[in-house]
Amino acid sequence: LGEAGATPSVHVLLSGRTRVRVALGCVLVLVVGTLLRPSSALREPSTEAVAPILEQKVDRREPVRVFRALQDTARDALRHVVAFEIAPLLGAPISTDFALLRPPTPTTGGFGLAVGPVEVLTHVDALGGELAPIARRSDGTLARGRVSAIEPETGLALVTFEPSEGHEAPTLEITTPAPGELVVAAAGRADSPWIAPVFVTATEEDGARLSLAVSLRPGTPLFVGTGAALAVAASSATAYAAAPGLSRLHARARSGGGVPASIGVVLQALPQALVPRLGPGVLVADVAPGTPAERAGIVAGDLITGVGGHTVEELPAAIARIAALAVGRPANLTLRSRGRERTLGVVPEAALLAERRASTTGTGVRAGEVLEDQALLAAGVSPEAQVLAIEGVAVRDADEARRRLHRRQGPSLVRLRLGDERFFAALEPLR
Amino acid sequence: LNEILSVGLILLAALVAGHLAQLARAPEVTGYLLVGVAIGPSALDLISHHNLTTLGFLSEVALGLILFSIGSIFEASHFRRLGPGVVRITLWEASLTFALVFLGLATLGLPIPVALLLGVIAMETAPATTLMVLHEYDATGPLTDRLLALVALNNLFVLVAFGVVSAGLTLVAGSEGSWLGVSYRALHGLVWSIAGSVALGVLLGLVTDLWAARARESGEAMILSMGVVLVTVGAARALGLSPLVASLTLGATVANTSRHGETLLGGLGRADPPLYAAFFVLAGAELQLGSLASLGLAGLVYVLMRGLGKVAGARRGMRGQEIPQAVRSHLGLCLISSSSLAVGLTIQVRTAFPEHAPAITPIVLAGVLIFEMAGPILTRWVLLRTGEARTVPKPLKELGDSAPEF
Repeated sequence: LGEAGATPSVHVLLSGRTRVRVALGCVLVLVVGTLLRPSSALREPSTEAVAPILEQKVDRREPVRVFRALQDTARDALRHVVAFEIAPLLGAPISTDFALLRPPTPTTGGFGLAVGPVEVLTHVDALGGELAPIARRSDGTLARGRVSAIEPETGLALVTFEPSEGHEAPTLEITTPAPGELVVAAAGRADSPWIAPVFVTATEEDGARLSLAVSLRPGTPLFVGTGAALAVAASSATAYAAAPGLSRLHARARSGGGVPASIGVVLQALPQALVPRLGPGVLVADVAPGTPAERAGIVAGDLITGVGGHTVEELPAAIARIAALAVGRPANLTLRSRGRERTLGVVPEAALLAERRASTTGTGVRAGEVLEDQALLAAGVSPEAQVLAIEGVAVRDADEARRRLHRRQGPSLVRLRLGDERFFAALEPLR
Repeated sequence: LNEILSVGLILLAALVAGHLAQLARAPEVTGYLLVGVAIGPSALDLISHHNLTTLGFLSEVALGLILFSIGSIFEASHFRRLGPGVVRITLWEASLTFALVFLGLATLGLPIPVALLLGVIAMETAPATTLMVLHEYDATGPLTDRLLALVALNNLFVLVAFGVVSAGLTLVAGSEGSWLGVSYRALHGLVWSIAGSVALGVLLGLVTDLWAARARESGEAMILSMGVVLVTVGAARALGLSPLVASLTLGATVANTSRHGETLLGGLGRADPPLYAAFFVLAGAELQLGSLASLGLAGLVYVLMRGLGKVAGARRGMRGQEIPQAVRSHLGLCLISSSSLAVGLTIQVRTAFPEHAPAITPIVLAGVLIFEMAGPILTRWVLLRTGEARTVPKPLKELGDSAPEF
């Protein structure tokens, strides 16, 4: 295209000495300018570190549990996940009053998350210029933050918000997962109402493995099953996990061959009240049709006690063990149902293939007609839930259901349905 | 799709689209952009967001090469002849566009910083599309002469204005850190992005000339030009400078100081058509059709005021200059196109003023979509109208010619 420009006719042919002087002047400008650059000037997050991950829209309930978002935005969905999914896993309430950074633009979305009383961990989606993070406090007012640290490799920035003018700084209590601990994370996409599970199968001293089944947008926060806000996705194709305070838990998306395995079950922690009678083990809350689990004969209500030769007693361990199975290679699963142990062979599929919605059929009796509200509340069951079966036997009417619950001394394992989600609870009439 | 497959697809799609565009009497660029929209994430999603991210470097390289060749406009004798007039036109068209867009949006009740930033972004004119259309029609004449210089100056002016406005806004809003620190950072950014970029371009231009005498073959000249442009763009990014200004300065330095400027600038001619085709298809893929839906009243005002400002400003700037009437009445229309720099500035707004970005981004994206489509078509029309288009592709005739005649 050069000829489209003007044809040079007379050249300013500088003498050799002038050229050297001009060149030296330019070098001087560049050196001085570089030296004088303000320290907080941002560099672009490096793209070399970006590993490809599966580009899939995930709308699924498998296998962590139902990460079904009820709200329109990921922000609300995250609150939902923390309150209803992660808190029950912990067995203790955790704060859902965390600070989320306002999405930088409607098109990119993005959040930061609070990692301490006044600190927010966020990504730097920057091409230059000055970072001026804004946080929205719970009272709706905005706070302008100060970047106190940037990790150049991941582009993660730690932003401090000073309390000002009668406003409190955003707060969140967190714990760091210990090395070797198995954690489960959930990720929300800024543009989607869905929350998808992310597996952190093992954390190490300075590194964790993350296998992702979703493509994360910059700024997407990840939560871990221990209740901590673990990380923020730093670029559109890579998820970086960073421990609070930027002590760097590297978690990179595994590319190729790193697809989490699935057998098509929805798992649930066995209600504590039933552990003495049935436990230990992890409850199969639902089996999706056409999945390896269904083909192997696993049914809802079975307790998983071992995966691939490892004993599992806790939900996170079971999830992680199943996800870590090799796709396509037969694996043994130890189950207990009605007091009998049995071992089955299943061939796990890639999580995205095994991804099918469990059927949502099955009508029962309104829980509110079977038990007193207080009894239901104690078990965390909505009166609107449908009682489908008690101790594995289908329920026909409310009277019969009530009689069967009263007959047993102690809690019964009851199968329920709420919306399109089926699950178990330990129900016991008030005595 | 993997990257190689998507690049292949992009090139072949561009080929077909270029021909279809000629059939429809539209510039090739329009065809490239439209096919980009079609295969991009907005429509068919053959080229995903992920592909766009990884192929982003292609666009940067292409833009660097384009600006390198535009830089030759600043060749001294040529510029001495046109310079003062062109500078005046640039000042008028850019300032009037800024003023109209700012006033229009401020009257609508948009916050003053948002209106200011949108005003600055509205001033930008796309260098790449303009050059492509001029090249396609082999244009020469008083309008063509001025147009490239106008676009180059316009981009420099926009960068400086954006630096000034964002420094000003940072100073006004600056709450964190000491006032001195904030103003230092704001001013350093402004000075550095211009002075540093110019220094880098001049330095690399002089270094290029050291080797230019040895690069006799056009192949070698091409390798040299390509290599030096890549180094310039890459170094500018590494140093936090403006690749745009640096490549422009590089082109200007080579054109002015080297006996071999022509060889170097011409050497690129053969290598870059595929790169440019890819550049425009990717630019099309990045256009967001959805943004039109959210255009709104503010967007409408933005589009109208920008169009008005460009046309009226160019006309006012030409007053009192010896310029043929045909050029006088049409030049403004050739300044309508808008593209990568506007998007780039929006990304900077997102970083520097995240609180204003949600208001600005949709308007700019919708504006770019509209102007990027309208710009080349208007430029083509003007070139035909002023008689500066020397070769008008006749695709139908070409097809007939390709039949064996011997």
